[in-house]
Amino acid sequence: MMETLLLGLNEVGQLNVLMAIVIGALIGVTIGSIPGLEPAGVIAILLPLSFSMEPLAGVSLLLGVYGGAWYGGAIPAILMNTPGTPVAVLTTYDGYPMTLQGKGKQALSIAYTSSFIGGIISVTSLVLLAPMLSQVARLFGSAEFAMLAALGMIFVVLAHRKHVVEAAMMLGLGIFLSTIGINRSFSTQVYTFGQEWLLNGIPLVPAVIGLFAMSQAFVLLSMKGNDSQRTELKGEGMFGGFFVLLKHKITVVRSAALGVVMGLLPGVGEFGSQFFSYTLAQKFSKTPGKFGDGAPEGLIASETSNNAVTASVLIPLLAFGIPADALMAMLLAVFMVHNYVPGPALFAERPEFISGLYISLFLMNIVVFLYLSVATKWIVNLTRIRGRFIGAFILVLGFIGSYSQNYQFSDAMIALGFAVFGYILRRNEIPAVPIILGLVLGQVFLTRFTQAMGIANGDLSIFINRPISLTLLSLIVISIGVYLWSTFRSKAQP
Amino acid sequence: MNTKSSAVDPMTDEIDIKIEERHFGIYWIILFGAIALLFFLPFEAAWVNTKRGWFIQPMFGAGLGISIVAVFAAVRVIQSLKSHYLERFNIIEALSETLSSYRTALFSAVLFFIYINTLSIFGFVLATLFFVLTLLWLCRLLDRTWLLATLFTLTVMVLIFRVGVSIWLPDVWLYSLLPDHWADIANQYL
Repeated sequence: MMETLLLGLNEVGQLNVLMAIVIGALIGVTIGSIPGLEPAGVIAILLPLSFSMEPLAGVSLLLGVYGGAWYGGAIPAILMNTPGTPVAVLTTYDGYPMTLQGKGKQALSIAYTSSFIGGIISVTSLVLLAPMLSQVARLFGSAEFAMLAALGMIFVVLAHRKHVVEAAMMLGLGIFLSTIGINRSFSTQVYTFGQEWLLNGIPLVPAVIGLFAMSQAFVLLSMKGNDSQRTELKGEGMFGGFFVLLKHKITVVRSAALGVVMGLLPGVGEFGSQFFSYTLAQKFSKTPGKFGDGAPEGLIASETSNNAVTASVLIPLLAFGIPADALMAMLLAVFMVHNYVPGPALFAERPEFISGLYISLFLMNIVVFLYLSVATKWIVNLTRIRGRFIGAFILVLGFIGSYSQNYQFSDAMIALGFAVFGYILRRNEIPAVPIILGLVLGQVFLTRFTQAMGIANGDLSIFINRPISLTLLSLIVISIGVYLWSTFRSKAQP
Repeated sequence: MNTKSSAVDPMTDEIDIKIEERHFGIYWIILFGAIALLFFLPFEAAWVNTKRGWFIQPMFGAGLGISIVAVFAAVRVIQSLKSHYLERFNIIEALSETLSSYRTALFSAVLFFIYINTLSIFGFVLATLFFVLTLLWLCRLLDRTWLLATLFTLTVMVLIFRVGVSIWLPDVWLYSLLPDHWADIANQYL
């Protein structure tokens, strides 16, 4: 144990890893604090850059952006009533009223401290749970992995509660896109239409950059008038958040626990945890009527839970190789580029990487917390940058990101195609995340399914003869059944 | 009594119908696309002789994906038929409305296409400068402040990506007009 820790410290102690943690965290906070700029897009742009870095440095850079953005999203949510990131929606409910009451600094301090505690609890849960679950993964064969991938896809669809039909449609598109190119089992071409550039399939990086970053750029470029906003930091107590949290210990623990559990479920993530923990905090509060009017408890529940997801969401990826959201799918690409295959073997063969990853996540939370506590007064000025200016440069960065992986202009064209499609999806409120998960999980499912069929000589009963596979299959059926039952029930009610 | 919730707001209804119409249009397009792809299935994912079951055929994954798209798009299309969407649908009006509402994105996409193709003619710095300034001009954001901000951001990007990370770009036509040693430096950093 001590040896592994020292190996991890040795990895993290390298200058490039430390730089990646700090730069990633600072980029994350910056993009989080600019409304309209989503971390997924920026992570997609940084993805090819991370491929050329050492594995731990590359992963730390992306995780720094991911974690930092959730912290930074609280700034415009509290000061301007505009969530910096989509997961900061509930932060506006109590954060902004506190600003109106002249307690802006206190609200920010509560948000930072809550996020920090949530983040640290999440990393601790990752340290404890990931090795345990990776041992469970040793019991998995191809049939189990196929069912797990299928379960992940079902969860992703069902998590889009109001857009289940659209999410399923996009998941299907993702599965289809994952099959384009040369079929590895039979060496035949699938949907290439004789085009040479399609032989290697649809590349993930240009697809992600187009769908998340460049389509967002089109949205920003479509803005009209003066979209910059001035913010003022008022009030006292920039460092008093910790004492407020002490008064609401149970809310902190409950929200963090919910965040950790929700992070384990594909597709649910920050949104689900935030809504559940806010609702529960209100339900168990002595003063539920104050929620929405500047109750610190509401702010604590929202911020603790969404940051408690950031590390626990890594557990399914590290233990089983199953990404729980689009960002984890991108992280999986980094792992694969460096031939780091997630699962029990990674824990056994690369303990220094795993240990280094834990330490870098702890460090990331500390760096972001300290940076925000000191630099908030300057960061708030970022809200003055015009969205259209950012949009123009996102397109340039989108070109660099999509081109630089293979140095092919055709990749930039693919990114452009996905950008236009992503923009159309945004305009029609159709979620794009299932496309990426279909692209990644669809490939996992089909590969493992083919392997399982090879083992069973084409006998489908392999999926019900093996207990773990049967359990996962039952979970799929139950999940769909519960969804259909609740849908019909809500429609039947007058 | 809550009068707000019980009152009928004709404006709201009209807006709802418009949103629905816009939404349904895309489902029709997706459904047609999926059916077209299904038509190509036997040609683009050939049948292979194997004893391990039809479900490991190369066409299985592609067929599964497209079928999911088609089935769920059909759900919305059927809803549109139930709401008499087609009776209200005017293809020319819908096309002009769509093109109008997507014009910024379409212009930006065309400019991006031109930008990619001018990179090997003018080089990263000049092509990016033209591209960003044109976008800002079209968005009515081009003034001295944003011109200076563009120059500053572009300098930072060149330092990070061309000098720091050394992202390779093909040799540029414009730089071939320079003396050899200048052309080499320009091709490497600009």
